Amino acid sequence: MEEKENIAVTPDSVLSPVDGEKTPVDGALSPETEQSANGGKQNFNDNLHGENLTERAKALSPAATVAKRFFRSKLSVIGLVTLILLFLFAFIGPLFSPWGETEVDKNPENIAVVYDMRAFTYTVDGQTYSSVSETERFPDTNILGGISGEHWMGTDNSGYDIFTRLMYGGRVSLTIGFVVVFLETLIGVVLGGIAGYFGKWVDGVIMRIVDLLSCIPTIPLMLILGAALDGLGMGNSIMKLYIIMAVLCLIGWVGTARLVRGQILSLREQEFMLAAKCSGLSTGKKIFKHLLPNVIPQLIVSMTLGLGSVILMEATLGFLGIGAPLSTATWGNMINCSSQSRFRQYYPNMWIGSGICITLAILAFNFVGDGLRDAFDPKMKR
Amino acid sequence: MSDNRSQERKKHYISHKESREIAKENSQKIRYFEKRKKRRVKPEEYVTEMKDDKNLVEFDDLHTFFFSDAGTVKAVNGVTFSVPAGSTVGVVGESGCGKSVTSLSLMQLVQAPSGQIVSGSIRFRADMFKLDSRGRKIPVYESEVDENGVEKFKLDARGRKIIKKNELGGNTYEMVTEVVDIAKMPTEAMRTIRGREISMIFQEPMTSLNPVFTIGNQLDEVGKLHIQGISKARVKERSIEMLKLVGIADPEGVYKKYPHELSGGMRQRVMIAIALLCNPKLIVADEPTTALDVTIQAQILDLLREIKGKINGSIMLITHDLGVVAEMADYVVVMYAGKVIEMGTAEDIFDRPLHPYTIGLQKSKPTVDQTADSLYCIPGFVPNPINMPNYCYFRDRCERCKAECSGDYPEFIQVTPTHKVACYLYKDGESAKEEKNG
Amino acid sequence: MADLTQNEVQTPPDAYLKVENLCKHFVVGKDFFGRPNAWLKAVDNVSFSVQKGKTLGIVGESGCGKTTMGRTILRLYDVTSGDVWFNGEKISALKNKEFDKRRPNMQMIFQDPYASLSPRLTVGEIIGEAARQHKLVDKSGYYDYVVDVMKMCGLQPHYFERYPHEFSGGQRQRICIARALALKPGLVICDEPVSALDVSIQAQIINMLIDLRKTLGLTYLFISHDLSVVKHISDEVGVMYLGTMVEYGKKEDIFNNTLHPYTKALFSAVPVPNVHVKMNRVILQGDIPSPVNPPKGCKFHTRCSECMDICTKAVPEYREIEPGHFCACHLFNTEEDSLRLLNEAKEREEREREEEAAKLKNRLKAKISSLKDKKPSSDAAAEEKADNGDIAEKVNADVGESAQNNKEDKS
Repeated sequence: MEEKENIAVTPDSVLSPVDGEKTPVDGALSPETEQSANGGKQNFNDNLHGENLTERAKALSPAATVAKRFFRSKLSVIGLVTLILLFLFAFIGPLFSPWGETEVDKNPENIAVVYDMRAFTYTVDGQTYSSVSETERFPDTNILGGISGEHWMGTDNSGYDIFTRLMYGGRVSLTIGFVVVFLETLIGVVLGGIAGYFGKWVDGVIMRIVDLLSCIPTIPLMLILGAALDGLGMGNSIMKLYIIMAVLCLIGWVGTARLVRGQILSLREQEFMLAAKCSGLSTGKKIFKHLLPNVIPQLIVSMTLGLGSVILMEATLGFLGIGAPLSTATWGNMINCSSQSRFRQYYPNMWIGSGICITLAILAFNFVGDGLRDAFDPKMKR
Repeated sequence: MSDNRSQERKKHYISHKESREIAKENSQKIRYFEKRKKRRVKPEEYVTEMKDDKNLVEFDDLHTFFFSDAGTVKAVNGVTFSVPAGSTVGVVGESGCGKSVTSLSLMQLVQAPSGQIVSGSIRFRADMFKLDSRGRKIPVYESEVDENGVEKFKLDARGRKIIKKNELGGNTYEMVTEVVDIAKMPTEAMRTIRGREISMIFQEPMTSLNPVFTIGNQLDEVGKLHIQGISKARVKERSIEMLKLVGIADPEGVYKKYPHELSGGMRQRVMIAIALLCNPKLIVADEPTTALDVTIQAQILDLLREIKGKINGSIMLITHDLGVVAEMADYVVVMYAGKVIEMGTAEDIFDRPLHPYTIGLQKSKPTVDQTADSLYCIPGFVPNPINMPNYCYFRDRCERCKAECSGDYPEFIQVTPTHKVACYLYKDGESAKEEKNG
Repeated sequence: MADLTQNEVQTPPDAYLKVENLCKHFVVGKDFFGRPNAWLKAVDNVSFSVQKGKTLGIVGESGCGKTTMGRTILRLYDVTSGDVWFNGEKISALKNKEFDKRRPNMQMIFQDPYASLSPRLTVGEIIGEAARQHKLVDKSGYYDYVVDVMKMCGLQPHYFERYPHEFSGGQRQRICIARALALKPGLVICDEPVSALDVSIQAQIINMLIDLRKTLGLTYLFISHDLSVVKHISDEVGVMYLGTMVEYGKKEDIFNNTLHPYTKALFSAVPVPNVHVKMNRVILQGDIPSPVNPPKGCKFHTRCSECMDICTKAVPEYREIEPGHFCACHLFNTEEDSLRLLNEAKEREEREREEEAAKLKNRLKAKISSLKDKKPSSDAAAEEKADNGDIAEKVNADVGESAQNNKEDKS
């Protein structure tokens, strides 16, 4: 009996999970348990007894679980690192560059002779021959300069430093990506949420709008819009890009809306939503506290994947010459020059950098997006 | 207040450092076990001897762990029991006690790479194919004894020897009965045992059938896989025969149906038919009736009992329902937190339960023919099997615990020839006797 | 308006919760124009009442409509027809906004403790959120109030900041109970609260529910498929099969003097944890029929061991066989009852058939007249007409025949 009493310690002592294998634990024979043994009323605060074994095991916090799953995949880590490097390159890099975005190198020492190639045809004896003539030119600025210590990637046809413009271009491309995706998501969440939660005719109207919008072909629309804006005299202002991106937002939210609506439709039928309805919670609370937080993981994934596609879109527009004015550096604009065979053939340094940047950014966003999707998925066991 | 809470969080959640340590350790261990699995294992390594020749399966000190992010989960932690040939063994326990993992270990279906059989052995008496020097099965040919008393092979029209058909309609091969250790067996060899020698019935009849194939397709597939040389017509015949055996009134109709057209009870019957297709020696039924209604449960249990008589095999029945076990099982194994705490014949366990947990479990279940004001209940929760202590896992929920209980984990005590219990209460024969008298 | 006046005229019943002829039909099929043409009668004409502080247990197999009934009483689903009276008020006639104000007084505990807790809210938030919304507690007393409720349900105060996924099933179910009790309800509908839990935890939760009933004076509607649990906790028991109540009465009556063959079968199907009791089982054959297309007559007749001729034809009446003990089975009919029911059934069938025939006839008539207007221009049209005429004749003959049958029966 004495021994028994030695073991019985205060019921509050909880065995700490880390130390001590054999720390005396509470209530081996505390009065309450004896009572329950007699089939008497069970005091439910007695649960503390069993808890020692339950509490021994620590759990991973929700954030830690996601992080762990994310970092387990090598590709997503590579993607994340690439993204961080790209951001540093775009936002910090220009601070260390001696050149500005539209600064022209006029140093006579750097200026080199430029050979302009001109194709012509001539006819001899009724036969037509084509040939190329080369003319020398002595410009007053360093245009189309080669790779040197001063210009790491040379200069372009306007005499701007390509490497510096690559960094500035990254700023525009990445910022546009984030802003567009953020706006798209915002519109998509609100409209998709409303459609999914209220259902019936509200759902019908919103989803028909979605159907209509997804019928519009993006590239032709952009071409027409670009031409129209040029006609309005906006050809040389950055406003043109903003307007085009705004239109992109207006037709780009449909994917997010569909996603959110689908998610909410399935979540709405879950028992916890019934429970929320049962306790008479207001509609706002039901949507914003119970439904939307459960959609956030999917949203993060779709946003990450969406970033890549917006950057790609910007590049396409730039390449087609309907994005930002050419003096503004964006990755898309810089790749534009490759449409001229002269630059494509003889000056790869002008466009290959932005091409690599675009590829890296999109790959990285996709890797991170995939990694996040797997990390958020509760069914993934590994 | 917030300080308190953040401390609380710290105590409850794994810190970054700990988590990294766990991850490091896990990846090391998983790599070791995966490597061990991949190496070539010669048959000599896994062929062993039974301890008792009457047994069909012997679990011997089996340890199956899951190396999870939160730490090592010792799901099965030293389980020893056996399934005698021709009997039904019920494995009872609450969720997380390791009863399902035990059965999955037997099938080599523990989810790798995080789940691994760490040590111990599972001995199973299997009819293995005899292999020739080049690792091929040896067929048995049709032969007849002619008038001179000389055995002669029968030949077909093209002069080839005809392989003898067995009672299932498949080719006959030379077999050899061996005792194999499933824990050490390579996956390739295990594949010939799974489905043919041991088959499994799962809990969810809704999800264990593939929704895009007809019932007939799914039955035939198993038949074709495990009965070599069986003809198409014979497979179908066999499938329909099995559907009839499990009490389906319209076997031809059901053969053509898709799973979603059947009710839960019918699907479970189909699952049983699939399990029976190759005349297995052992059927592992993992909670076969938990997802079903009482009246359907009664039908299925009835069916299982009937079938056991017909096929002359053993059943390992895994369930949390004491009522089901009492009705079905000859032997009962009670598990708690990855360990067997008590085992014996059904009479031993239900008439003379010894372990406080078994007693509590039986008392806490309300029954239709008894009335009591308040139910007895075991305090506390089912433990989370991570970082288990050294002492008896039930100590903190046990009302009869003694000073000794804080010592090492109790050894098994043989109370009667058939009845074993792991509890200090019965260490000296005294209390055991007391229990019997009381 | 008409509804309101009716509401005033009817005197409130003396029971705390009274359900009268409750029906909940789900539309499962629609024609091209969106008009419903197939219904699932999940709850069909169910009536019962519960006194304050008592517990009514509802037993039945899956698909018998017990869960739907619970949810319809709480108006989580719209009522198709029938009345629900609660606390002297006809809540089935209230407007949604009005009803929302009364929601705290009627709470529900769900079956699946994993699906019924919002995964991204903390335990404290889950429990206290609604109490704050309904102004049951002010901001300063909020934390203490929630912790009090948690303690009452056997949860430790420091769980306040944790998330539900960190807990085991038993603890989650305690959280669910705490969420319901935080609103100080009078009626709690427990929808299979223990069937997802381990045996040792089941006992804890059941004991806790019984204790709480005593201390807080709660009224339970306890829905479960587990007869032993229902027997343990209830004062009255109702047995449901395919949407209808087949037997209802005091616990002692139901368990000691079982009337309905389905209830008997249900009892004998429960496995007993005793090796020596090999029960003489009444094993029901077959499966539960689909509620979309339930069998004619008595819904149970396809599986009933005591099925008679009348069972396949007439729907049994749900009536008081003994004082306080209701049952719907032809076994307890007097001969007159049987005759009357049979006749009623026949008449109804007759009426239905006639209606259908009339419909068909009208349609055909319309078609024939339209054809006549057009004038038969080709052979095909003439043929069609002839066909139609045949059908019309056939229909007429059918109607005549059945009318004759009817007369014979009556005589």
